[in-house]
Amino acid sequence: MRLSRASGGGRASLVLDAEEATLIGDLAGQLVAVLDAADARDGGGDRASRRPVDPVLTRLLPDAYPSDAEASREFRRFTASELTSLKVENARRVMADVTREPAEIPLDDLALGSWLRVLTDIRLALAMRLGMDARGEIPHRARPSDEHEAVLDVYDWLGYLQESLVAAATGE
Amino acid sequence: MVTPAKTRPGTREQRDVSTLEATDTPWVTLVWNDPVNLMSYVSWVFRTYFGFDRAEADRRMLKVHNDGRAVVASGGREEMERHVVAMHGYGLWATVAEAGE
Repeated sequence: MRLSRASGGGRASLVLDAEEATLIGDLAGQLVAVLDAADARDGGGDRASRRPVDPVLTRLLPDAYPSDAEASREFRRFTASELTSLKVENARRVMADVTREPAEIPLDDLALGSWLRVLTDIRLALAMRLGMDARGEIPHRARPSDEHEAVLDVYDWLGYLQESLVAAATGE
Repeated sequence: MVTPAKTRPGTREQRDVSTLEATDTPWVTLVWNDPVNLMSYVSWVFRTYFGFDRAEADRRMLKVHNDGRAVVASGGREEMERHVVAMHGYGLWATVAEAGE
């Protein structure tokens, strides 16, 4: 990963190596699949107001009124579809960016906004899949698997990438 | 005249009218702490979306971090719902509440 900051009229840009680009493209694709499935299941009529069953979706589209199920349902009915579309649109933009030739991704404010949101959504989804609790702790596994360790590594690296992009966005 | 959430009318149009009348009891947008979102990112969201300056954005971000939640906006219910859906768009955990709740 190589991030060039905006300087002297030039804008920020990001260069990922092939493995990193593939990884982010895959994860963004999985995010789209999760969101699309929810939209297809819940789309239309009163069904759109249903609270999603997948814990990843309940975190990506949380209740607006935690102690009022009816108000949360109504909020969801009016907002979930558009919010889901926005998230999918951002993810598709990132998927397109990582397949660019040449591989240098220009990061204007709009692109940075999409990247930061998508990295957030992916990290939220991974944290839910890892079973992270409210304190950020991941339950100890009696028999840690290679896959679990790999997901943890990816989660940490995405946090590092996001921190770097925030710094680029704020000119720090 | 305030329409409590539990007994509010069933349509959005009706609710809008009630919300407009409820100017003396504003609602708030709360952002809650979560273990995933980076402090720098939360501050950036507050600056980008609410237009806070750096010091104000950091102050509210630290309140979220230290107290578990912070009020980031107050006003009419519709406006708070717009802020909350925007925060969800950024992946922040935000909710609507009556002021003083």
